[in-house]
Parts: sequence; structure tokens; C-alpha cells
Amino acid sequence: MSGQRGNWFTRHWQLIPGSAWMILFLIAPLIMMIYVSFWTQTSFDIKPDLTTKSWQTFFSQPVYYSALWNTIRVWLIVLVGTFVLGVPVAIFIGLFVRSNTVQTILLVLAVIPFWTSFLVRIVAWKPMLGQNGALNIILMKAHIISEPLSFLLYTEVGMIIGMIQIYLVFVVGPVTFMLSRIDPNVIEAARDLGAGTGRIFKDILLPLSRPGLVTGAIFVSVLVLGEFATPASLSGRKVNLLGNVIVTQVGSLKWAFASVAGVVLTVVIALVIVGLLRITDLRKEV
Amino acid sequence: MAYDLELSHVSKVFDNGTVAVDDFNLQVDKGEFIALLGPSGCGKTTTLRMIGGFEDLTKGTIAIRGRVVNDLSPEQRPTSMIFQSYALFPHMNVRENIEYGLRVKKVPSKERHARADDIMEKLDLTGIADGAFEGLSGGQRQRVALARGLVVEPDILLLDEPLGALDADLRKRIQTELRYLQKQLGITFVFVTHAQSEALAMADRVVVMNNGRVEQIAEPEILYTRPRTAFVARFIGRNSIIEGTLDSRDGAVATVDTEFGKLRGHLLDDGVVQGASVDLVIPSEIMELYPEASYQDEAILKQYSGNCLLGSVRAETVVGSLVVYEVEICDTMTVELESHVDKYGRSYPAGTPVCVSWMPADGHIVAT
Repeated sequence: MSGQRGNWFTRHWQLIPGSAWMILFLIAPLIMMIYVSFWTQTSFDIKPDLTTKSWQTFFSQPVYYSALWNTIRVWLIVLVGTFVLGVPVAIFIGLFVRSNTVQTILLVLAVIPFWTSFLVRIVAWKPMLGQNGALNIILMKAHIISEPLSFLLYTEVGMIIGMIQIYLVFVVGPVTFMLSRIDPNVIEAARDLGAGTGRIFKDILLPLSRPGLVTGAIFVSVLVLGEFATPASLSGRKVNLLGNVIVTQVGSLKWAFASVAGVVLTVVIALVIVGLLRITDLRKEV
Repeated sequence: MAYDLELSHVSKVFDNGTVAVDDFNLQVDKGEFIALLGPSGCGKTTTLRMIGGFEDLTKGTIAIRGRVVNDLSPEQRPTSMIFQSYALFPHMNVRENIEYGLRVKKVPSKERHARADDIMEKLDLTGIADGAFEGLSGGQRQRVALARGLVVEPDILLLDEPLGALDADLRKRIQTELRYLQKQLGITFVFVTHAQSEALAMADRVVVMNNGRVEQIAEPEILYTRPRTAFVARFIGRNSIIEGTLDSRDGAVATVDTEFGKLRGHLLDDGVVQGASVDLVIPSEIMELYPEASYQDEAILKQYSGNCLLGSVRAETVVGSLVVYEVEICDTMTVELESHVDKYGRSYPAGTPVCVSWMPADGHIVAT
């Protein structure tokens, strides 16, 4: 059947729209961003004369390179937080809820907050966490505290609480999915052969849900590393992430400098994804 | 000597009030092959899971080699379960699957390999030991699951419809292999199935269950020739069943009043009183065909003590060396006869009026 083979074009034309899209909106902007990061920036103007000045500024001024460390620190805290809270929820929904209907209902409940706009979700935390917010009122009425807690809003704590809530669902979803696909008999077989709860978790649940864990980690990582709105809103601009640096620099038309921050952020995200994918080859799964 | 496995008054009521198992009693000797047989939902799998520790008992005790194991979790019980889905660990290769139980029990790696090699040789798995099991056939997966369960040297092996997922030919072959393996190892097997042919072919004793209750525990041939309850009679073999009431009894032979007149059969149960409603169970292979005129033949009537039903052949089906006749009796019921194809030649084609007879000792009367 030589007709099925055809020439190169007939075999590969289906790749054209996708490739064109990727080149136009991913590869080209990336090259452009790297290029612009070496342009010369003055207070009022930007010229395509190549220089490393913006790069030097980024790594010499604490306000900028500390944004890099802040980003990595906040990413790790939020990642751990979403996993500590999300994995038990996933285990409950995926393993302990037998009925498919109840499973779906619980998953939908976990996703419902996601149906509101991103900004609404962030802003909604303000009346929750503020000095006279819901949380403080509840704690005071319950006589757990006598004075309102002031570290909840416009602090890093508030920002992290907000981020964990917003991104939790990205862990719960994929991990639940992977866990619910495990044949309950496989877990019983392990028990039958003498494995206790800890061994079952380590030998059976962890490896079998690894693609879900990695998918969740990639979702959370990509989203948190690129964050700028939540810190701006809930930390009261006290915490600066790379995303915030980019927004500020673009706002004041410092394109070269914004590009440097952009390149750094892109490299960080790429490294994180490569690292996570080394844990499991997602293409082999499913 | 304690029994290898003893279930006393075991009952299971689920949280929603469903009675899954009701007063189950069974004693199993070491090395016995026991089949739990019954339709789906009869409680056989629940019983097996209670033995394995996967379900709590509502009442009663389970003892293994004299030790009550009610409070032991599955990982502490000296039982291994073979699941219908095989439940192999998908992220481990064949050897890792088989050695898992030994690794959990911290058996040193040298001994672990040796024991795994040994069981793999017994089960003819040596060639595929280190392969992933993605390419394995159903039969091979089944043997891997068996090896994984047997390598930890359980006192009792529990098998939950392990042949259910295999095609018919393979199932036949594995039945024989399993039976051979069990006798070779001398381990007690408890095997759950809904296929009577499987239970009758493999087990030393069969426990027939229905609606959570034990109907009869007996050797396969007894089950076949002497069903104790109407359910067993309907479930095992190809029996024709005529309903009626007990008219009179004379030792082991009794007369039943039926819509086709008074018919005779063998009655084992002493508790059945006159007037009780009973089933007359007639195995398909003991019935005999005579020409219609035999109905007036005194010699034949006497030989069969009057067990003679008039009817007409509706269908004659030859299956290899066997022939199956469907005979319609008085337009109200159909009985099936089975015999060797040479017995009647082809002298009773469809439409022939006939007389169906059987010896009173070969029909069974059971209370309903």
C-alpha cells in the first residue's frame, strides 16, 4: 500500500497548524524575550544595542535576586502545603468512597470554588482573614483567642493560605483519579501477603499514583512560580515574587529588565518541570 | 487433631441489614479441596473473604489449625487469597510480584530467590520470571497470582473464582493443573465458584450455598445422586422436577401426589410428613423412553412401580455421542432425557408419542 505512505508532505501536513501556533506564540516570543533582555535600557527609551547591563543589575541588587529566592521558597511551601492537605483528601475520595456517584459529587465540590473568577477567589480571602474577618470572629467567639490575630492578612502567611486554597484542587484531581483506578483487590492482595498500612502506602499506593502526584506537582509548580496577583493582593505587596517584578517593570516600560526576569522565571519553571518528569515518564503512563 | 479450617455458626449481616451469610458451619481436614458453590449473591465470596480476614464476622468463629483467627487482620492470617482479577501488582515484574510477600516478611534475598525459583518451577513460570507481565496471557497471569500466594506457604489457599476470566478450553486445563498442584502441595484449598462443573470436577467436597445458607455439604457424586434440598436438585445436574405432595412412604421409597398422578421416588429425609409439599427430582440420564403403548404394558408398569409419564418428543438433539430428548408431558411441562446416542437408535424422532419411565430408587424426593 504505497498510497498510505505518500511523500513527506502528505504524512506530516497535520502537524502544520499546531507547529505554526507553537512557533508563533511560544518559540518566537521566547527568542524575542531573550533578545530583548540584552537590549540597552535608558530611563525613557530602549535601544537594540546589545549589553549585559540588565542581567548584571538583576543579580547585583538584592530586591531583584531576593525575588528569585522568594519565588522558590513560596513555591516549595505551597507545593508541600497542597500535598499535605490534598493527598489525604485524594486518598479519601479515591480509595475510601466506594460509590462512583459520591466520588464525583465530592470531586465537583472540590472544583466548585474554581468556577468563580481568579480575582474573586483571592479577594474573598480578605473578609475571611482580616482583623475583623470571619476567622478571627470565629476564633474569638470560641474563646480560643482573646485578641484578633493580625498576621493573617497582608502577610506572607495570608498569601500562602490563599495560594494553597486556590491550587489545592490541582493536586486533589489528578491524584484522586490515579488512586481511584487502582483495583481494590491489589491493595487487599498486598495486605494478604503481610503488608501493613505503611508498606501498602510505600509499595503500592505511591508508585501506582505517581503519575497523578507528578501531574499535580507540575500544575501547582507552573501556576505558583508564575504567580503575581495573589502576592499583590493578600501579602499587601510585602512579598515580591518574580511575577511581581515582571509586572512592575512592564508597568514602567522597562522591557529589557522585565525580559531578564522573564528569562530567569522561564528557566526556573523549565528546570522544575524537567526535574518532576524525571520522577516518572508521563508519556508511558495511562 | 484440630481441623485445618473450622467455621462455627458464622454469620454476616451487612450494615444495611442484608444477611449475607447465615449460620455457616464447616470443618475442613488438612489437604482437602473445598468448593463453595452457588449463584451470585449467595454469600460464597463473603464467606471466603471472612476466612481471609477481609470481612468481619457478625457472629461465630473461624479457626485455622485450632487457633481462632477472628481478630487477626488479613496480613496476620496464615491464608493467601487468589483474586478473580488476579490483582497482580502492575508496577512490578513477575519475580517481584512473586517475591513481594517474602520481602514484606523480611526473608533474606538469597532464600527469597530460592523459594521463588522453586514455586516458579512448580508452576512452569521459570521462562518469564524477569519479564514485565504486560505480555502475559490470562493463564500465565493466573499462575503468577497462584505462585505469589503459594510462595509464602499459607496453611490455606483461598481462591475467589480464579478461573472466571479464562476462556473455556484454558479453564478445563487449569482445573486439572490446579487439582494436581493441590494434591502435590497438600495445602487446603477453599475455592469459590458459581460454575457447578468446576466445583464438581475439582473439589473433594462441595458446599452448595443459597441466600446465605448452606444447602448441602457433600462429595460431588453424592450431591449429584442424592440432593438433599430442592435448591440443590435444581442447581446441580440436569434434573427434571415435578412438584407435588407426599402421599405415603414405605421405607426409603415414597409416593408423591402430582398433577400427573401418583409417582414414586427415593426419600432420604425422615422429617418429611404426609401431605408436605415436595419436589420429585428426576435426573435426565436415568429416565428411559418407551413407546406410548407401554402405558398399558403391565410388566413395564410393574418394573417401574407405575412411574410412567405420557408425552410426546418435542426435540431430539444429538451432541456428539449423547442424545438429548425434550419430551412434553400433558402440554404442561417439559422433561429432558439424556442417553447414549445408540440406546434408542433414532426411533423417537420429534413428534413421536412416548412413555417416560424411571426406577423409583433413582428419583429423589426433597422437601420444598
